[in-house]
Amino acid sequence: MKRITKSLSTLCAVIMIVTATVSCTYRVEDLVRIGEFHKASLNDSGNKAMNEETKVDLYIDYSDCMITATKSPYYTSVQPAIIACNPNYYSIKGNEIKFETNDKMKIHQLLNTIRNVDYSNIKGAVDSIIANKNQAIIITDGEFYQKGVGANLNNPYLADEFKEWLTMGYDIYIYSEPYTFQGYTKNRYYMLFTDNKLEDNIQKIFSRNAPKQDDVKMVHLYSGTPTVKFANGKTEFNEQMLVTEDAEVNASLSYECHTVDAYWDDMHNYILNATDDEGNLIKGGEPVIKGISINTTDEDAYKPAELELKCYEISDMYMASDSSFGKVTLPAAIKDLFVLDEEEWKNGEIVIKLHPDFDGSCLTGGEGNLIRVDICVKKSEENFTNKPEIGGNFKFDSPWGFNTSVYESLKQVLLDPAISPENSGSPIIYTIYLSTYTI
Amino acid sequence: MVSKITTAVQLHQAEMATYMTDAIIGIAFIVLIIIIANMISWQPGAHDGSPAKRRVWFWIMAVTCLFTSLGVNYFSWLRHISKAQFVTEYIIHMIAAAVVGSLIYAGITYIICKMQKKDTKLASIFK
Repeated sequence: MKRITKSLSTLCAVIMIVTATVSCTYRVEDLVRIGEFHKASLNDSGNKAMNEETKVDLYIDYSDCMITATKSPYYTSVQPAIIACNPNYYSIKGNEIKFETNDKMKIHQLLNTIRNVDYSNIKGAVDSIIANKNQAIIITDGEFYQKGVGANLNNPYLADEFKEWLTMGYDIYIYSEPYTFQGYTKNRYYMLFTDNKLEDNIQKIFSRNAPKQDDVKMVHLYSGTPTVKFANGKTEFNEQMLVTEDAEVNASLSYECHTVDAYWDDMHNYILNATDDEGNLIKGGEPVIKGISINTTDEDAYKPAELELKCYEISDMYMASDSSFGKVTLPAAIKDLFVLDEEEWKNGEIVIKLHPDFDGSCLTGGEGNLIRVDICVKKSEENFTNKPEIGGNFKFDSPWGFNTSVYESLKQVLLDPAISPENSGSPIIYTIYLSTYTI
Repeated sequence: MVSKITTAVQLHQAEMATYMTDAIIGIAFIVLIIIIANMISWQPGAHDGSPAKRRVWFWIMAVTCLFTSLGVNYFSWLRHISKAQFVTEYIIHMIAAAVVGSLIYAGITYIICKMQKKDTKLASIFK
């Protein structure tokens, strides 16, 4: 009897010691300041959003494109919306670019009484758009005929201006509406200079009012990074991770934050080393994160071709200061944690798995492992010159010859390596924060 | 006893519970064999076959303990697991727990019998 009690009590002691060591794991619980941290870590190298209070500047090319405009159902649909933006109306009469009015009634009158003035200084108008840094619309036929110089048929005369606008982190949307004049099919270009990050910017207003017409093509120039969209409304996590319900998803700053209840041991054993129903190891393990894809359309000038993941261990940095963060520089990226599934990326899906060499050694957080995963653009490819059905709308026939200047301007901008998303601003498309236990 | 077992945490809890349950089943069978052994009366006369009978019951109870444990494990936990990887892992623990439970039964019964005064019914099981 005595021997039994003695052995039972040692057994109890062992159980208590084991549970005590197992429960010595920590996790960062207070994630309220993740938003601040994220903002503090953003690379704001001049890519600030445009001031919301900016006025809209409207530049009208006094040439045949505007004279014939009133007969166009497309133009008549968008004209009220443009006037409703309360723009500053500038007329381009030859070399003279003049501010006329910002009175909506007068603007309406002026738009209906346009006369042709030769030698429109389109380049000069775009120059002043770049200089003013407001939202702007210019309606032109792109025919930059200079006195003494000629028709500028194959001259990328807007390339520099476009590049400058994009380098500031802003966007250009160019709608091309074909029309005929004196037997030639030309294009009415609506060039919208704006900032995608602005709520309810002129492009949103324009696209809401513009009728759906198949012959009108649009190209969207920007040097920023695209946004993401979700297959099922939100990011999908592997069931074994036990991601908690209370998550913070901030679409405008492109990040989300979750708490993970599972231990890394279990994630290693059941996600990385998951087996299928026959007991065979699944190659690469099961997906950890999936259901995300990039939001690009045919009109976007750039498409991300290669992505890369950058993972950071930020628990110490996050817990270190309990007041505001100041400027945050992220620590060195940790290797061997997560990888992007290349096969799925070929299908346009972002699927993240555990690195095959993951063994926990990269996670060294003392107070928990607060991990930041950045999905970044590694290399983007331009999505314009390979689309003749869109590009063709930026070349047109004229009495002086075939004019490809607008097309060449766009092409020159897009082929400039300094403009591509990974070289300007921040290449981060989306960020996921995961608060996990210590190893 | 439980709803579906889908996560690793639930699996670990099920495994812990399995070991504990099978240990308790083992202990329950110890009580059972003590009762049965005492119910088997001495046979008067020259040749007493009752110790042999008690020994037989000892082994019957050992096997019953094993299968009872396996049965309880199956109905309480295994049938709630659908993920193949979990099933493979649980089966190993299920069998191990049942064996351990039976060993607890056998071992402690042996110790108890050996600790009895000689010429008692229990002592006669392991002469």
